[in-house]
Amino acid sequence: MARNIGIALALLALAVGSRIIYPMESLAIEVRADDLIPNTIFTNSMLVSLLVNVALITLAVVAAGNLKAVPSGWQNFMEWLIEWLYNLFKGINAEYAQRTFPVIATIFFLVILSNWFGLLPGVGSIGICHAAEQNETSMSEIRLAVSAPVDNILPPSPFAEGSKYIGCQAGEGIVPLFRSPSADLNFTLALALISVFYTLYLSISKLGAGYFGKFFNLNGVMSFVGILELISLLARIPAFTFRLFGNIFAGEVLLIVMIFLVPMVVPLPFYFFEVFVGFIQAFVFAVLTMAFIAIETQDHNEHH
Amino acid sequence: MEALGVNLPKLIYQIINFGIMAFVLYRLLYKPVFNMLQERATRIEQSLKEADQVKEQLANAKRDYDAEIAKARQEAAAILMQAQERVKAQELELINQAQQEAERIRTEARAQTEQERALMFRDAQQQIAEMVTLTAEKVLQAELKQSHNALIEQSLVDLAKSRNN
Amino acid sequence: MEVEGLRLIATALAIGLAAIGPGIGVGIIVSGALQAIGRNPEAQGTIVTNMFIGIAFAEALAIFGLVISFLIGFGII
Repeated sequence: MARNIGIALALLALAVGSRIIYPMESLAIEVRADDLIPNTIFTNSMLVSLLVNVALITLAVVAAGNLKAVPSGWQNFMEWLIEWLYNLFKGINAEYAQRTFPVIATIFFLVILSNWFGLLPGVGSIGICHAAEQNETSMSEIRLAVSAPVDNILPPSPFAEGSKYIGCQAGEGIVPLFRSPSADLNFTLALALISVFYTLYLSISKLGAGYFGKFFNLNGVMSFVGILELISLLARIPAFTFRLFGNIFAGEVLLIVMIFLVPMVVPLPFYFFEVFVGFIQAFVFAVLTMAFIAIETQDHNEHH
Repeated sequence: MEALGVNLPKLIYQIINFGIMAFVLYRLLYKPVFNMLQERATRIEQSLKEADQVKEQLANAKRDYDAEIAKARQEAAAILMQAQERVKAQELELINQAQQEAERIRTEARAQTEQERALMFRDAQQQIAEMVTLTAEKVLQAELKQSHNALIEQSLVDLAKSRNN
Repeated sequence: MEVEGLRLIATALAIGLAAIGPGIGVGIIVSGALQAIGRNPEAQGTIVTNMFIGIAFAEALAIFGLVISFLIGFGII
């Protein structure tokens, strides 16, 4: 009992001490991914998505490069994961589970690794120095600038001399080297488009042109229902996009705000929460895609 | 959307990236793992079937073995019975032989005894005849002649015959 | 009032109001799912999967509000 109280007090002291010794001067979060190389489209989130690709391919080679009849280690884990995913999809729609597995499982793997990559230390905090005045006009608009609430009481941070970033000149900001692809709208929009258009492709290839009869028809109330169906289909794209983007980006903002308020101890449970959210978002993206495929490929004339 | 950082080339880059990853993962991960799972499933099924077969074979072998054992036991019992019968037969034969032997010995002994008795009887007859003759000679020396001897002997033989009968 | 102050109020209101409905919705969804699990514990896997799908739908509304609040807060709109 006394030991637990001691641990709690030590953690509290650590939290308070970290707040005094390492106060963050200001928050710097951007909604959009920064270009790493000027005048190209190569952004920091693209770099991370390449790293995610490398990690996934490495995992695939390690797990499935030398398949053995009696699995062990990574092979065992990946077999379990793939079987679990497959059974999950089969539970939603047995007809399309096998055929759509490569696409949906790739969505799952890419999203989950992207989500978790954003939680690694150094993502967002390691970057390239750049002079703030170069593109000050655009940057200052999209940076959320909050100054420390207790500026006057606290001693200045030891790292505050010159710049708030170690190794940068005074007044310089950084372009983060890494950024979770899930916190980049291009990635989430691309996945949303793939998910929706893949569903469309499957349903048209199954039901033919009759599929569009669900949206455009002239039999009374059903024509309004068709329009609503169309709207709900179109709304899926922003829903997918912003669900993933919003969750992951909000998670990053949450972590940064927590670190801004109390640099140590307090952010820890939020990290656990973000790991969970990262998994849940990947799971939801994959399962929702499968569920929409299951719904859209049903022949409506048969059921009504 | 531009303010949020969405632009077409980056979007297309992500779509292509996804396509490449889906293809690569399909070739490197999903296909081999699915093949492996399927192979394993068939192998398990096969080994289960084989195990069933082996079990059946074992049951057959057990049944055959049991039958063999039963047959052998029956045969053994039959052989034992035969042997017992043969032994009994032999015993009977031996007893018969022994009885016959004993009978033969007895008969022989009886015959011998008979013979000896006859011999003795004849001896005795002769001796008696001689004694009678001698006595009669002496008695009849005076009155009877030697020729009466034959008559006496004849009468003795008749006597013996009447006794034998 | 300054534009900056209005922006802060708008940011807070956007996410604050957007969180009300989904909060209630998620509560109802989880309550229903837990009752279903209590009634039929064997179906736990399916129920939890569907519960997360439902939560994702409800949560998406809050996330839209959050995105809007970010857009206001970051000065994009």
